[in-house]
Amino acid sequence: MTVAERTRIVGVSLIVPVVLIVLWWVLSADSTSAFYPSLSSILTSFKDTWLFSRVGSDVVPSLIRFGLGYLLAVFLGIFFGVLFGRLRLLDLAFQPTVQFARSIPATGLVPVSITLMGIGNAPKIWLIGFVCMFPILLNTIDGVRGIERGLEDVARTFRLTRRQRIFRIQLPSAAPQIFAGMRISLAFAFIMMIVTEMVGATSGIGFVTLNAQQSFQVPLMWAGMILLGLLGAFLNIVFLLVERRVLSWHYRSTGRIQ
Amino acid sequence: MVGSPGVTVRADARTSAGTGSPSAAPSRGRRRLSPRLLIPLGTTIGLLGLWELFARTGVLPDEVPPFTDIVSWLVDQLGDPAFWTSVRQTVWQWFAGLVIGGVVGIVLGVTIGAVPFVQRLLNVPLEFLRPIPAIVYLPLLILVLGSRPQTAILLASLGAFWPLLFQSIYGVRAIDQQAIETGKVFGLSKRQRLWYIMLPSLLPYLATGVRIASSLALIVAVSIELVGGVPGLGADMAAASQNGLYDAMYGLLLVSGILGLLLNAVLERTEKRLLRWHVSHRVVNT
Repeated sequence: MTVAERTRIVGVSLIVPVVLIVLWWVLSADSTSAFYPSLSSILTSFKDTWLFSRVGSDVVPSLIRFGLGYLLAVFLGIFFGVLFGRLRLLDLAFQPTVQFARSIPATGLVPVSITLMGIGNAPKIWLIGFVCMFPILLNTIDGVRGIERGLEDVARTFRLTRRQRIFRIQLPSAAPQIFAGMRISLAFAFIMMIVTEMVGATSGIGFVTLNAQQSFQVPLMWAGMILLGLLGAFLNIVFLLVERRVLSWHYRSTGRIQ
Repeated sequence: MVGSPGVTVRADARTSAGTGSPSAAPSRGRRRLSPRLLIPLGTTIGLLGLWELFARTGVLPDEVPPFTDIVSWLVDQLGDPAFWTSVRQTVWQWFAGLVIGGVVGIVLGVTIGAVPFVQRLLNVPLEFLRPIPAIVYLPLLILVLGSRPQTAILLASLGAFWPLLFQSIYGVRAIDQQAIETGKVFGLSKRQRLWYIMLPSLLPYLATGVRIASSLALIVAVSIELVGGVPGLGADMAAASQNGLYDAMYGLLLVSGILGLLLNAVLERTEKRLLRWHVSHRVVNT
Protein backbone atom coordinates (compact mmCIF):
# COMPACT_ATOMS: atom_id res chain seq x y z
CA MET A 1 0.00 0.00 0.00
CA THR A 2 1.48 3.32 -1.01
CA VAL A 3 1.55 6.37 1.23
CA ALA A 4 -0.95 8.17 -1.00
CA GLU A 5 -3.40 5.29 -0.77
CA ARG A 6 -3.06 5.09 2.96
CA THR A 7 -3.63 8.83 3.39
CA ARG A 8 -6.71 8.57 1.22
CA ILE A 9 -8.15 5.77 3.37
CA VAL A 10 -7.41 7.63 6.59
CA GLY A 11 -8.90 10.76 5.03
CA VAL A 12 -12.13 8.99 4.06
CA SER A 13 -12.52 7.42 7.48
CA LEU A 14 -12.18 10.83 9.14
CA ILE A 15 -14.86 12.52 7.02
CA VAL A 16 -17.87 11.46 9.07
CA PRO A 17 -16.49 12.16 12.57
CA VAL A 18 -15.14 15.56 11.55
CA VAL A 19 -18.34 16.54 9.74
CA LEU A 20 -20.47 15.46 12.70
CA ILE A 21 -18.43 17.36 15.25
CA VAL A 22 -18.31 20.50 13.09
CA LEU A 23 -22.06 20.25 12.49
CA TRP A 24 -22.69 19.83 16.22
CA TRP A 25 -20.49 22.84 16.97
CA VAL A 26 -22.10 25.09 14.32
CA LEU A 27 -25.71 24.05 14.83
CA SER A 28 -25.56 24.30 18.61
CA ALA A 29 -23.47 27.50 18.63
CA ASP A 30 -26.26 29.87 19.65
CA SER A 31 -28.65 27.28 20.95
CA THR A 32 -31.17 28.48 23.49
CA SER A 33 -32.64 25.02 24.02
CA ALA A 34 -32.38 23.77 27.56
CA PHE A 35 -31.81 20.20 26.42
CA TYR A 36 -29.20 20.81 23.76
CA PRO A 37 -26.73 23.43 25.01
CA SER A 38 -23.97 24.64 22.73
CA LEU A 39 -21.02 22.33 22.29
CA SER A 40 -18.69 25.02 23.56
CA SER A 41 -20.56 25.26 26.87
CA ILE A 42 -20.50 21.47 27.17
CA LEU A 43 -16.76 21.47 26.63
CA THR A 44 -16.34 24.25 29.19
CA SER A 45 -18.31 22.19 31.67
CA PHE A 46 -16.21 19.16 30.75
CA LYS A 47 -13.03 21.10 31.44
CA ASP A 48 -14.32 22.51 34.73
CA THR A 49 -15.60 19.17 35.99
CA TRP A 50 -13.39 16.44 34.68
CA LEU A 51 -10.07 18.29 34.19
CA PHE A 52 -9.31 17.65 37.00
CA SER A 53 -11.43 18.87 39.89
CA ARG A 54 -13.62 15.74 40.18
CA VAL A 55 -11.04 13.20 39.14
CA GLY A 56 -10.08 12.32 42.70
CA SER A 57 -13.61 12.39 44.09
CA ASP A 58 -15.48 10.63 41.26
CA VAL A 59 -13.40 9.28 38.37
CA VAL A 60 -10.90 7.41 40.51
CA PRO A 61 -13.55 5.73 42.72
CA SER A 62 -15.45 4.66 39.59
CA LEU A 63 -12.35 3.18 38.01
CA ILE A 64 -11.27 1.43 41.22
CA ARG A 65 -14.67 -0.23 41.61
CA PHE A 66 -14.67 -1.16 37.95
CA GLY A 67 -11.13 -2.52 38.05
CA LEU A 68 -11.47 -4.52 41.27
CA GLY A 69 -14.83 -5.93 40.22
CA TYR A 70 -13.44 -6.93 36.85
CA LEU A 71 -10.36 -8.56 38.36
CA LEU A 72 -12.60 -10.47 40.76
CA ALA A 73 -14.69 -11.66 37.81
CA VAL A 74 -11.61 -12.78 35.86
CA PHE A 75 -10.27 -14.66 38.86
CA LEU A 76 -13.58 -16.32 39.79
CA GLY A 77 -14.43 -17.07 36.16
CA ILE A 78 -11.13 -18.76 35.37
CA PHE A 79 -10.97 -20.59 38.70
CA PHE A 80 -14.44 -22.08 38.49
CA GLY A 81 -14.10 -22.49 34.73
CA VAL A 82 -11.08 -24.77 35.10
CA LEU A 83 -12.76 -26.58 37.98
CA PHE A 84 -16.03 -27.16 36.11
CA GLY A 85 -14.20 -27.87 32.90
CA ARG A 86 -12.18 -30.68 34.45
CA LEU A 87 -14.76 -32.08 36.85
CA ARG A 88 -17.79 -32.81 34.76
CA LEU A 89 -19.79 -33.95 37.75
CA LEU A 90 -19.49 -30.54 39.37
CA ASP A 91 -20.46 -28.84 36.13
CA LEU A 92 -23.49 -31.09 35.78
CA ALA A 93 -24.53 -30.49 39.38
CA PHE A 94 -24.41 -26.72 39.17
CA GLN A 95 -25.63 -26.31 35.62
CA PRO A 96 -29.21 -25.24 36.46
CA THR A 97 -27.94 -22.76 39.05
CA VAL A 98 -25.41 -21.24 36.65
CA GLN A 99 -27.84 -21.12 33.74
CA PHE A 100 -30.47 -19.40 35.85
CA ALA A 101 -28.09 -16.94 37.46
CA ARG A 102 -26.77 -15.79 34.13
CA SER A 103 -30.26 -15.41 32.69
CA ILE A 104 -31.21 -12.77 35.25
CA PRO A 105 -30.95 -9.33 33.62
CA ALA A 106 -27.81 -8.29 35.46
CA THR A 107 -28.91 -4.83 36.51
CA GLY A 108 -31.89 -6.33 38.34
CA LEU A 109 -29.41 -7.47 40.97
CA VAL A 110 -28.54 -3.89 41.89
CA PRO A 111 -31.44 -3.43 44.36
CA VAL A 112 -30.58 -6.78 45.97
CA SER A 113 -26.95 -5.81 46.45
CA ILE A 114 -28.02 -2.50 47.98
CA THR A 115 -30.42 -4.23 50.35
CA LEU A 116 -27.82 -6.75 51.44
CA MET A 117 -24.67 -4.65 51.55
CA GLY A 118 -25.63 -0.98 51.38
CA ILE A 119 -24.33 1.65 49.02
CA GLY A 120 -20.61 1.53 49.73
CA ASN A 121 -17.85 0.23 47.51
CA ALA A 122 -18.02 -3.43 48.51
CA PRO A 123 -21.49 -4.23 47.11
CA LYS A 124 -20.61 -2.62 43.78
CA ILE A 125 -17.34 -4.52 43.47
CA TRP A 126 -18.95 -7.83 44.42
CA LEU A 127 -21.84 -7.26 42.05
CA ILE A 128 -19.56 -6.41 39.11
CA GLY A 129 -17.48 -9.46 39.95
CA PHE A 130 -20.49 -11.76 40.19
CA VAL A 131 -22.21 -10.59 37.01
CA CYS A 132 -19.08 -10.48 34.87
CA MET A 133 -17.93 -13.88 36.04
CA PHE A 134 -20.38 -15.79 33.85
CA PRO A 135 -19.10 -15.05 30.33
CA ILE A 136 -15.55 -15.88 31.48
CA LEU A 137 -16.73 -18.98 33.34
CA LEU A 138 -18.61 -20.42 30.37
CA ASN A 139 -15.82 -19.63 27.91
CA THR A 140 -13.18 -21.13 30.20
CA ILE A 141 -15.20 -24.33 30.55
CA ASP A 142 -15.50 -24.56 26.77
CA GLY A 143 -11.85 -23.68 26.23
CA VAL A 144 -10.51 -26.15 28.78
CA ARG A 145 -12.66 -28.91 27.27
CA GLY A 146 -11.69 -28.12 23.71
CA ILE A 147 -8.01 -28.94 24.21
CA GLU A 148 -6.53 -31.21 21.57
CA ARG A 149 -6.33 -34.82 22.62
CA GLY A 150 -2.74 -35.04 21.43
CA LEU A 151 -1.64 -32.24 23.71
CA GLU A 152 -3.22 -33.97 26.71
CA ASP A 153 -1.57 -37.24 25.83
CA VAL A 154 1.85 -35.60 25.49
CA ALA A 155 1.39 -33.96 28.88
CA ARG A 156 0.57 -37.32 30.40
CA THR A 157 3.46 -39.04 28.66
CA PHE A 158 5.88 -36.51 30.09
CA ARG A 159 4.27 -37.03 33.49
CA LEU A 160 3.48 -33.37 34.04
CA THR A 161 1.99 -32.77 37.44
CA ARG A 162 -1.62 -31.65 37.72
CA ARG A 163 -0.44 -28.15 38.46
CA GLN A 164 1.83 -28.08 35.43
CA ARG A 165 -0.95 -29.43 33.25
CA ILE A 166 -3.27 -26.65 34.36
CA PHE A 167 -0.82 -23.77 34.06
CA ARG A 168 1.30 -24.95 31.12
CA ILE A 169 -1.26 -26.75 28.97
CA GLN A 170 -4.87 -26.10 29.85
CA LEU A 171 -4.88 -22.39 30.58
CA PRO A 172 -2.65 -21.37 27.65
CA SER A 173 -4.63 -23.39 25.13
CA ALA A 174 -7.90 -22.07 26.50
CA ALA A 175 -6.54 -18.50 26.55
CA PRO A 176 -8.02 -17.31 23.24
CA GLN A 177 -11.47 -18.36 24.37
CA ILE A 178 -10.97 -16.98 27.87
CA PHE A 179 -10.08 -13.63 26.32
CA ALA A 180 -13.21 -13.71 24.19
CA GLY A 181 -15.21 -14.10 27.42
CA MET A 182 -13.19 -11.39 29.12
CA ARG A 183 -14.06 -8.98 26.34
CA ILE A 184 -17.79 -9.57 26.81
CA SER A 185 -17.30 -9.18 30.56
CA LEU A 186 -15.48 -5.90 30.07
CA ALA A 187 -18.56 -4.41 28.44
CA PHE A 188 -20.75 -5.78 31.24
CA ALA A 189 -18.43 -4.47 33.93
CA PHE A 190 -18.66 -1.02 32.41
CA ILE A 191 -22.46 -1.17 32.25
CA MET A 192 -22.64 -2.39 35.85
CA MET A 193 -20.27 0.31 37.01
CA ILE A 194 -22.56 2.98 35.55
CA VAL A 195 -25.83 1.46 36.76
CA THR A 196 -24.60 0.80 40.30
CA GLU A 197 -23.58 4.45 40.46
CA MET A 198 -26.88 5.66 39.11
CA VAL A 199 -29.05 3.73 41.56
CA GLY A 200 -27.29 3.81 44.88
CA ALA A 201 -24.17 5.89 45.20
CA THR A 202 -22.76 9.15 46.48
CA SER A 203 -19.84 9.34 44.10
CA GLY A 204 -18.75 8.21 40.67
CA ILE A 205 -19.12 9.33 37.07
CA GLY A 206 -22.53 7.70 36.71
CA PHE A 207 -23.72 9.40 39.89
CA VAL A 208 -22.53 12.85 38.77
CA THR A 209 -24.10 12.41 35.33
CA LEU A 210 -27.53 11.28 36.51
CA ASN A 211 -27.49 13.81 39.33
CA ALA A 212 -26.74 16.56 36.82
CA GLN A 213 -29.75 15.48 34.77
CA GLN A 214 -32.01 15.45 37.81
CA SER A 215 -30.83 18.85 38.97
CA PHE A 216 -31.09 20.21 35.43
CA GLN A 217 -27.40 21.01 35.00
CA VAL A 218 -27.64 20.02 31.36
CA PRO A 219 -24.10 20.88 30.16
CA LEU A 220 -22.69 18.87 33.06
CA MET A 221 -24.88 15.90 32.09
CA TRP A 222 -23.58 16.08 28.53
CA ALA A 223 -20.02 16.34 29.82
CA GLY A 224 -20.57 13.23 31.94
CA MET A 225 -21.95 11.31 28.97
CA ILE A 226 -18.98 12.34 26.85
CA LEU A 227 -16.57 11.21 29.55
CA LEU A 228 -18.36 7.86 29.88
CA GLY A 229 -18.27 7.44 26.10
CA LEU A 230 -14.56 8.23 25.89
CA LEU A 231 -13.88 5.93 28.81
CA GLY A 232 -15.79 3.05 27.19
CA ALA A 233 -13.86 3.45 23.94
CA PHE A 234 -10.58 3.81 25.81
CA LEU A 235 -11.08 0.69 27.95
CA ASN A 236 -11.87 -1.28 24.82
CA ILE A 237 -8.64 -0.14 23.13
CA VAL A 238 -6.58 -0.98 26.24
CA PHE A 239 -8.17 -4.42 26.34
CA LEU A 240 -7.39 -5.09 22.67
CA LEU A 241 -3.76 -4.04 23.18
CA VAL A 242 -3.37 -6.31 26.20
CA GLU A 243 -5.03 -9.17 24.35
CA ARG A 244 -2.76 -8.74 21.34
CA ARG A 245 0.27 -8.82 23.60
CA VAL A 246 -0.74 -11.77 25.72
CA LEU A 247 -1.99 -13.83 22.80
CA SER A 248 0.76 -12.84 20.36
CA TRP A 249 2.01 -16.44 20.30
CA HIS A 250 -1.47 -17.57 19.33
CA TYR A 251 -1.82 -15.07 16.49
CA ARG A 252 1.62 -15.99 15.22
CA SER A 253 0.93 -19.69 15.26
CA THR A 254 -2.47 -19.40 13.57
CA GLY A 255 -0.99 -16.95 11.06
CA ARG A 256 1.62 -19.51 10.13
CA ILE A 257 -0.99 -22.14 9.48
CA GLN A 258 -2.87 -19.83 7.18
CA MET B 1 -17.99 -18.28 16.69
CA VAL B 2 -21.26 -19.49 15.26
CA GLY B 3 -21.40 -22.62 17.36
CA SER B 4 -19.03 -25.43 18.12
CA PRO B 5 -20.84 -28.74 17.96
CA GLY B 6 -17.66 -30.76 18.34
CA VAL B 7 -16.91 -29.68 21.86
CA THR B 8 -19.57 -31.56 23.76
CA VAL B 9 -18.97 -34.79 21.88
CA ARG B 10 -15.30 -34.72 22.68
CA ALA B 11 -15.81 -33.76 26.28
CA ASP B 12 -18.09 -36.72 26.77
CA ALA B 13 -15.54 -39.11 25.39
CA ARG B 14 -12.83 -37.74 27.60
CA THR B 15 -14.77 -37.97 30.84
CA SER B 16 -15.27 -41.68 30.49
CA ALA B 17 -11.55 -42.09 29.84
CA GLY B 18 -10.47 -39.60 32.48
CA THR B 19 -12.41 -40.89 35.46
CA GLY B 20 -11.40 -44.40 34.53
CA SER B 21 -14.73 -45.80 35.63
CA PRO B 22 -15.02 -49.18 33.89
CA SER B 23 -18.77 -49.09 33.38
CA ALA B 24 -18.87 -45.59 31.94
CA ALA B 25 -18.19 -46.36 28.30
CA PRO B 26 -20.60 -49.21 27.55
CA SER B 27 -23.47 -47.99 29.71
CA ARG B 28 -23.84 -44.67 27.93
CA GLY B 29 -27.30 -43.99 26.57
CA ARG B 30 -30.38 -45.08 28.43
CA ARG B 31 -28.82 -45.79 31.79
CA ARG B 32 -26.79 -42.59 31.89
CA LEU B 33 -29.88 -40.53 31.30
CA SER B 34 -31.09 -40.75 34.88
CA PRO B 35 -27.98 -39.49 36.74
CA ARG B 36 -27.65 -36.76 34.13
CA LEU B 37 -31.01 -35.52 35.29
CA LEU B 38 -30.85 -36.48 38.94
CA ILE B 39 -27.51 -34.85 39.79
CA PRO B 40 -28.39 -31.31 38.67
CA LEU B 41 -31.91 -31.63 40.02
CA GLY B 42 -30.69 -32.92 43.38
CA THR B 43 -28.05 -30.21 43.69
CA THR B 44 -30.52 -27.47 42.88
CA ILE B 45 -33.08 -28.77 45.37
CA GLY B 46 -30.29 -29.15 47.93
CA LEU B 47 -29.17 -25.55 47.44
CA LEU B 48 -32.72 -24.25 47.74
CA GLY B 49 -33.17 -26.39 50.85
CA LEU B 50 -30.04 -24.92 52.42
CA TRP B 51 -31.31 -21.43 51.65
CA GLU B 52 -34.64 -22.26 53.28
CA LEU B 53 -32.93 -23.74 56.34
CA PHE B 54 -30.47 -20.87 56.80
CA ALA B 55 -33.18 -18.26 56.34
CA ARG B 56 -35.54 -19.94 58.82
CA THR B 57 -32.86 -20.43 61.46
CA GLY B 58 -31.63 -16.86 61.15
CA VAL B 59 -28.18 -17.64 59.76
CA LEU B 60 -28.95 -15.42 56.79
CA PRO B 61 -29.80 -11.75 57.50
CA ASP B 62 -33.42 -10.66 57.78
CA GLU B 63 -33.22 -9.14 54.31
CA VAL B 64 -33.13 -12.64 52.84
CA PRO B 65 -36.56 -14.25 53.19
CA PRO B 66 -36.95 -18.06 53.02
CA PHE B 67 -37.35 -19.40 49.50
CA THR B 68 -40.87 -20.69 50.19
CA ASP B 69 -41.98 -17.17 51.19
CA ILE B 70 -40.79 -15.90 47.83
CA VAL B 71 -42.61 -18.67 46.00
CA SER B 72 -45.82 -18.03 47.89
CA TRP B 73 -45.55 -14.31 47.11
CA LEU B 74 -45.13 -15.24 43.48
CA VAL B 75 -48.14 -17.54 43.53
CA ASP B 76 -50.23 -14.69 44.99
CA GLN B 77 -49.11 -12.44 42.18
CA LEU B 78 -50.23 -14.82 39.46
CA GLY B 79 -53.81 -13.69 40.02
CA ASP B 80 -52.94 -10.01 40.19
CA PRO B 81 -53.48 -8.09 36.95
CA ALA B 82 -50.97 -5.42 38.03
CA PHE B 83 -48.22 -8.02 38.04
CA TRP B 84 -49.08 -9.18 34.55
CA THR B 85 -49.17 -5.58 33.35
CA SER B 86 -45.58 -5.15 34.52
CA VAL B 87 -44.51 -8.36 32.81
CA ARG B 88 -46.25 -7.25 29.63
CA GLN B 89 -44.61 -3.83 29.73
CA THR B 90 -41.12 -5.27 30.12
CA VAL B 91 -41.68 -7.87 27.41
CA TRP B 92 -43.11 -5.24 25.07
CA GLN B 93 -40.14 -2.91 25.60
CA TRP B 94 -37.78 -5.80 25.00
CA PHE B 95 -39.62 -6.91 21.87
CA ALA B 96 -40.10 -3.48 20.30
CA GLY B 97 -36.48 -2.58 21.04
CA LEU B 98 -35.22 -5.83 19.54
CA VAL B 99 -37.27 -5.39 16.36
CA ILE B 100 -36.47 -1.71 15.80
CA GLY B 101 -32.80 -1.92 16.71
CA GLY B 102 -32.46 -5.21 14.85
CA VAL B 103 -33.97 -3.95 11.60
CA VAL B 104 -31.87 -0.77 11.62
CA GLY B 105 -28.74 -2.76 12.51
CA ILE B 106 -29.29 -5.35 9.80
CA VAL B 107 -30.05 -2.79 7.07
CA LEU B 108 -27.03 -0.68 7.95
CA GLY B 109 -24.82 -3.74 8.45
CA VAL B 110 -25.72 -5.27 5.09
CA THR B 111 -25.09 -1.93 3.39
CA ILE B 112 -21.72 -1.58 5.07
CA GLY B 113 -20.78 -5.15 4.29
CA ALA B 114 -21.80 -4.85 0.64
CA VAL B 115 -20.47 -1.38 -0.19
CA PRO B 116 -16.76 -0.97 0.65
CA PHE B 117 -16.92 2.82 0.43
CA VAL B 118 -19.64 3.06 3.07
CA GLN B 119 -17.56 0.74 5.22
CA ARG B 120 -14.51 3.01 4.95
CA LEU B 121 -16.66 6.04 5.61
CA LEU B 122 -18.30 4.68 8.77
CA ASN B 123 -15.65 2.37 10.15
CA VAL B 124 -13.95 4.80 12.53
CA PRO B 125 -17.06 6.37 14.08
CA LEU B 126 -18.73 2.96 14.48
CA GLU B 127 -15.67 1.36 16.08
CA PHE B 128 -15.51 4.32 18.43
CA LEU B 129 -19.20 4.28 19.34
CA ARG B 130 -19.49 0.50 19.62
CA PRO B 131 -18.03 0.00 23.12
CA ILE B 132 -20.23 2.76 24.56
CA PRO B 133 -23.12 0.98 26.27
CA ALA B 134 -26.69 2.13 25.64
CA ILE B 135 -27.06 2.97 29.32
CA VAL B 136 -24.73 5.97 28.84
CA TYR B 137 -27.45 7.72 26.81
CA LEU B 138 -30.04 7.18 29.55
CA PRO B 139 -29.78 10.57 31.32
CA LEU B 140 -30.23 12.44 28.05
CA LEU B 141 -33.19 10.36 26.94
CA ILE B 142 -34.94 10.70 30.29
CA LEU B 143 -34.36 14.42 30.16
CA VAL B 144 -35.69 14.81 26.62
CA LEU B 145 -38.40 12.14 26.46
CA GLY B 146 -39.23 11.60 30.13
CA SER B 147 -39.83 8.30 31.92
CA ARG B 148 -42.05 6.82 29.25
CA PRO B 149 -42.13 3.41 27.56
CA GLN B 150 -40.87 5.03 24.34
CA THR B 151 -37.66 5.98 26.14
CA ALA B 152 -37.10 2.38 27.19
CA ILE B 153 -37.86 1.12 23.68
CA LEU B 154 -35.44 3.59 22.11
CA LEU B 155 -32.69 2.62 24.53
CA ALA B 156 -33.37 -1.11 24.18
CA SER B 157 -33.20 -0.79 20.41
CA LEU B 158 -29.84 0.91 20.78
CA GLY B 159 -28.69 -2.09 22.81
CA ALA B 160 -29.97 -4.50 20.16
CA PHE B 161 -28.55 -2.44 17.29
CA TRP B 162 -24.82 -3.08 17.83
CA PRO B 163 -24.65 -6.88 17.85
CA LEU B 164 -26.88 -7.15 14.80
CA LEU B 165 -24.96 -4.44 12.96
CA PHE B 166 -21.64 -6.21 13.37
CA GLN B 167 -23.02 -9.70 12.83
CA SER B 168 -24.56 -8.62 9.53
CA ILE B 169 -21.31 -6.95 8.42
CA TYR B 170 -19.43 -10.18 9.13
CA GLY B 171 -22.19 -12.25 7.56
CA VAL B 172 -22.20 -10.32 4.28
CA ARG B 173 -18.42 -10.52 4.09
CA ALA B 174 -18.54 -14.27 4.61
CA ILE B 175 -20.79 -14.84 1.61
CA ASP B 176 -18.98 -17.09 -0.81
CA GLN B 177 -18.30 -15.07 -3.97
CA GLN B 178 -17.91 -18.26 -5.97
CA ALA B 179 -21.38 -19.37 -5.00
CA ILE B 180 -22.74 -16.08 -6.33
CA GLU B 181 -20.75 -16.44 -9.53
CA THR B 182 -22.03 -19.97 -9.91
CA GLY B 183 -25.55 -18.66 -9.42
CA LYS B 184 -24.97 -16.12 -12.16
CA VAL B 185 -23.67 -18.81 -14.52
CA PHE B 186 -26.78 -20.88 -13.88
CA GLY B 187 -28.86 -17.85 -14.78
CA LEU B 188 -30.36 -17.09 -11.38
CA SER B 189 -32.00 -13.69 -11.28
CA LYS B 190 -30.80 -11.08 -8.84
CA ARG B 191 -33.72 -11.79 -6.53
CA GLN B 192 -33.11 -15.54 -6.69
CA ARG B 193 -29.44 -15.03 -5.85
CA LEU B 194 -30.45 -12.91 -2.88
CA TRP B 195 -33.03 -15.43 -1.69
CA TYR B 196 -31.20 -18.70 -2.34
CA ILE B 197 -27.54 -17.81 -1.90
CA MET B 198 -27.00 -14.66 0.13
CA LEU B 199 -29.78 -15.00 2.70
CA PRO B 200 -28.99 -18.59 3.71
CA SER B 201 -25.36 -17.62 4.14
CA LEU B 202 -26.27 -14.59 6.22
CA LEU B 203 -28.85 -16.27 8.47
CA PRO B 204 -26.52 -18.09 10.91
CA TYR B 205 -24.71 -14.83 11.63
CA LEU B 206 -27.98 -13.04 12.18
CA ALA B 207 -29.19 -15.81 14.51
CA THR B 208 -26.15 -15.34 16.72
CA GLY B 209 -26.67 -11.58 16.59
CA VAL B 210 -30.32 -11.88 17.57
CA ARG B 211 -29.45 -13.97 20.61
CA ILE B 212 -26.86 -11.47 21.86
CA ALA B 213 -29.13 -8.55 21.00
CA SER B 214 -32.05 -10.12 22.84
CA SER B 215 -30.26 -10.45 26.15
CA LEU B 216 -28.83 -6.95 25.81
CA ALA B 217 -32.24 -5.48 25.01
CA LEU B 218 -33.69 -7.16 28.10
CA ILE B 219 -30.89 -5.87 30.33
CA VAL B 220 -31.28 -2.35 28.95
CA ALA B 221 -35.06 -2.44 29.35
CA VAL B 222 -34.83 -3.58 32.98
CA SER B 223 -32.08 -1.04 33.69
CA ILE B 224 -34.03 1.90 32.40
CA GLU B 225 -37.08 0.78 34.36
CA LEU B 226 -34.92 0.54 37.43
CA VAL B 227 -33.02 3.80 37.03
CA GLY B 228 -35.49 5.91 35.09
CA GLY B 229 -38.71 4.74 36.66
CA VAL B 230 -40.27 3.60 33.37
CA PRO B 231 -43.11 1.23 34.35
CA GLY B 232 -42.19 -2.46 34.21
CA LEU B 233 -40.56 -5.20 36.27
CA GLY B 234 -37.45 -3.07 36.95
CA ALA B 235 -39.48 -0.22 38.44
CA ASP B 236 -41.39 -2.70 40.60
CA MET B 237 -38.08 -4.11 41.82
CA ALA B 238 -36.81 -0.67 42.78
CA ALA B 239 -40.06 0.08 44.60
CA ALA B 240 -40.01 -3.25 46.42
CA SER B 241 -36.45 -2.80 47.63
CA GLN B 242 -37.03 0.78 48.74
CA ASN B 243 -40.11 -0.24 50.72
CA GLY B 244 -38.40 -3.22 52.28
CA LEU B 245 -40.70 -5.73 50.57
CA TYR B 246 -38.01 -8.36 50.28
CA ASP B 247 -40.33 -11.20 49.21
CA ALA B 248 -41.40 -9.06 46.29
CA MET B 249 -37.86 -8.00 45.43
CA TYR B 250 -36.59 -11.56 45.18
CA GLY B 251 -39.79 -12.74 43.55
CA LEU B 252 -39.44 -10.14 40.82
CA LEU B 253 -35.81 -11.11 40.36
CA LEU B 254 -36.93 -14.71 39.98
CA VAL B 255 -39.49 -13.63 37.39
CA SER B 256 -36.93 -11.64 35.44
CA GLY B 257 -34.59 -14.62 35.42
CA ILE B 258 -37.37 -16.92 34.21
CA LEU B 259 -38.21 -14.34 31.56
CA GLY B 260 -34.57 -14.32 30.43
CA LEU B 261 -34.50 -18.12 30.23
CA LEU B 262 -37.82 -18.25 28.41
CA LEU B 263 -36.96 -15.65 25.79
CA ASN B 264 -33.65 -17.34 25.18
CA ALA B 265 -35.31 -20.73 24.81
CA VAL B 266 -37.83 -19.36 22.32
CA LEU B 267 -35.07 -17.83 20.22
CA GLU B 268 -32.98 -20.99 20.33
CA ARG B 269 -35.92 -23.09 19.18
CA THR B 270 -36.68 -20.70 16.35
CA GLU B 271 -33.04 -20.74 15.34
CA LYS B 272 -32.98 -24.51 15.32
CA ARG B 273 -36.06 -24.64 13.14
CA LEU B 274 -34.86 -22.01 10.70
CA LEU B 275 -31.33 -23.32 10.48
CA ARG B 276 -31.85 -27.06 10.65
CA TRP B 277 -30.02 -27.39 7.32
CA HIS B 278 -26.94 -25.59 8.66
CA VAL B 279 -23.77 -27.44 9.70
CA SER B 280 -23.88 -26.28 13.32
CA HIS B 281 -27.35 -27.79 13.78
CA ARG B 282 -26.99 -30.94 11.75
CA VAL B 283 -26.68 -34.10 13.80
CA VAL B 284 -23.12 -35.30 13.47
CA ASN B 285 -22.67 -38.93 12.49
CA THR B 286 -20.85 -40.71 15.26
